[in-house]
Amino acid sequence: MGPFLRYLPRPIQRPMPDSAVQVRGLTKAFRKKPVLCGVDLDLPAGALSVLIGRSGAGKSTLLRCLNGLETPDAGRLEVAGVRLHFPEDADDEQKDQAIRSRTGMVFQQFHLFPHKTILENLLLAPQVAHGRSDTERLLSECGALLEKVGLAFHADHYPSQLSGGQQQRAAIARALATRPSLMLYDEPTSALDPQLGQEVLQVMVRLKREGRTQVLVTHDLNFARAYADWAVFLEDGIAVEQGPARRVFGRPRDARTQAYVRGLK
Amino acid sequence: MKPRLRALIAFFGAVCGLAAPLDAAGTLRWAGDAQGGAPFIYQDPAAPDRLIGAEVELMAALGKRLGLKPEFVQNEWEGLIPGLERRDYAIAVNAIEITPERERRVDFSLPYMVTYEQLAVRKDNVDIKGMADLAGKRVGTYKGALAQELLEQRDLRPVLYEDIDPLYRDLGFGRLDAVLLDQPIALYVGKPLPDVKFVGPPIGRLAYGIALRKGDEALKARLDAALVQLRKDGTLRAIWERWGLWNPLMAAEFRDPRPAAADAPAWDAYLAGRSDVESWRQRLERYALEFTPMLARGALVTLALSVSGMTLAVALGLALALARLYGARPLRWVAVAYVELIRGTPLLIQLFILFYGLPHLGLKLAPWMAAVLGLGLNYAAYEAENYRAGLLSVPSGQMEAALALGLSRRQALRHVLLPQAMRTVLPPMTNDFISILKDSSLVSVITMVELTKVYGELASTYYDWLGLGFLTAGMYFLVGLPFVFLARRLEKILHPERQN
Repeated sequence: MGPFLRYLPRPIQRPMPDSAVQVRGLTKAFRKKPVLCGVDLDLPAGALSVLIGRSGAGKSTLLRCLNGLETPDAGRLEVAGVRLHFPEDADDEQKDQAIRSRTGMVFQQFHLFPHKTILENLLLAPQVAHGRSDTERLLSECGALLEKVGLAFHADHYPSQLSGGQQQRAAIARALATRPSLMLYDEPTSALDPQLGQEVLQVMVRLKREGRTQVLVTHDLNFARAYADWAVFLEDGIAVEQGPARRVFGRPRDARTQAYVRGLK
Repeated sequence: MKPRLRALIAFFGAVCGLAAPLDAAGTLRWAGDAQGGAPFIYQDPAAPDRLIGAEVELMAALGKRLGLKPEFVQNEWEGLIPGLERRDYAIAVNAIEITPERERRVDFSLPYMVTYEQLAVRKDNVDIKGMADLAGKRVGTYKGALAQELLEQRDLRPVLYEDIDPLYRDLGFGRLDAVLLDQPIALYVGKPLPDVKFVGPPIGRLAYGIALRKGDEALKARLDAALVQLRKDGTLRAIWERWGLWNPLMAAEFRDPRPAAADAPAWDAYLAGRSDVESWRQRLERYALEFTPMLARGALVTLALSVSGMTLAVALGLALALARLYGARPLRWVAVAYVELIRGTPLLIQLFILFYGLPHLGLKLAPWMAAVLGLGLNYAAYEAENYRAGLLSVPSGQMEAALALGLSRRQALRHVLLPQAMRTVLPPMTNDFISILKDSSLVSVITMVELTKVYGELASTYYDWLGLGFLTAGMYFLVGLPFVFLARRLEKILHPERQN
């Protein structure tokens, strides 16, 4: 963290802050195979939340439902102030876009645009989707973002010229460039060597200290334990347990959570 | 047809500036195929820009008599009558035999020539002496000529050619045992060859007439009156005598029993021209100074056609691919049906339908329009599949990432998917451009004179398929080359990350 950031006000920790995400009775099936079976959860604003659970528990699907990349079959969602009811709001492009413009998504495989430089990757959405024409200001914002993720000197590089860790950090900066109120990460370090993964996680820690609302799907329990404020454990398409991370990891109440958290210790 | 559509077509016709004005005052538009060669209509070997031949002289005499300026329109021989029905010209004059079948479609003037079929064999052949000896032999003739019918009536299966000169060449090469064709053509194209001889008596009787549209009574009456006068004042006879084609059948038809004149200056000039042995220097000069400019003009037409056709194909192909991949269901079906239908049928048939078929529905396209549309609509089907392959080759995560950033589907396509798809699409598209250059030679069936047609005409005038062939092939290659380089440059632009 730069010395400048140290003097910014720290976010105030409250026992149960306002929720940034509310999910009620969410179900989703792929070809009649149920993946989400009535998920209820609340994720606090200004905190780093983790969604944990075994492969196939529905973590990624849940995350993708939060910004409309998947359409739930039934249930209610409130994400960053946008309310959706399913199935009524299925394929409502306007609401989808409203949610997407308030959330930033980071994928396991980065999905940077290979034909654009890193800076162009950052500029595309603000200019095209948000119609921003204050180029000077946008450029300085993007420059600051690249500096924040440690890529100030890579603005004119193409994605293929960067390492995996650098690409993922660029992808985070690209998502931040749209000024989202909520960041979603879908296993952002799974495709990276542990060492490169650390670079990416450090960026998330930095954002956490700024008081950003972040939701992370991960298998990295050590990171989750160390930095998460809130944790949700999913199994078989149900949010089995949720609460402050310290409690969920320290004194899990549900037997399935206990087995998972301890088994992987 | 709705008046608005008609106006639109008229507008495009006017824009193209190529819609044939119908018998503009004072001119008589007549059609023939210069590739048919001597003695009827062919390029003057001394000045290949100029057309000469017995029928060119006939039209000059007729025009003078009628007070009209004859204006020649080039068309493939088989397209002569369909073009007449399209009203591209008033009459067709190119050794068209008057037959009952043809008379059902068009009207004919009085015959301007009467002649017969002549059998030709190789000089060393001794067993073919007449039609009776043809069973089991390979007999060649011109596609659509009366000779084809005569042979088929005898249960013979003739080999059909679309060019005259190769017919007699193949007889010499031994690919054919005999050739049956109209005597004037046999005389001019076959007889001068060293290893070809005529056998047997004159076969059948054929009369050439001027073909005109059914019901064009006023013109028919004028043409007949003029022909009668040309017979009476000896003009017609003089023309045929000049070309060495006056024969007893014609003497009977024209009731003019005087014996034929002894000398035939046009025939002599033709023979002299054929036997002229050019030095290498002369030949090279002719290639450089006469053939190259003519072929280059053809190449320009080919180039213009291909670029216009490909532009249409590239635009329409993109629309089709997008409709198929992202359109609503009915739109998707339309796109699939279009691609399969167009891809699954020959371009030649599509051109025929566009040019000769649509006028029956009231839609008459100018040759240029029909050619560009035909090539463009056809290649659009292939380009659509290229685009589809390109779009499908972009990983699905790219669309998801773009949507997640708040871009609409349309924006994602425009800024993220298409630029990447183009990298995959460009090489096969370059391929197709080279391919459309060559396929554009098909449009000679709809009266367009492009590179291959110029080659065909020149080769049948100079009996030179080899040297002109190389020259033409070289032209195609040169025309395509800049586009190959252009594509390479574009590829670099689309792959900016490869530059360093």
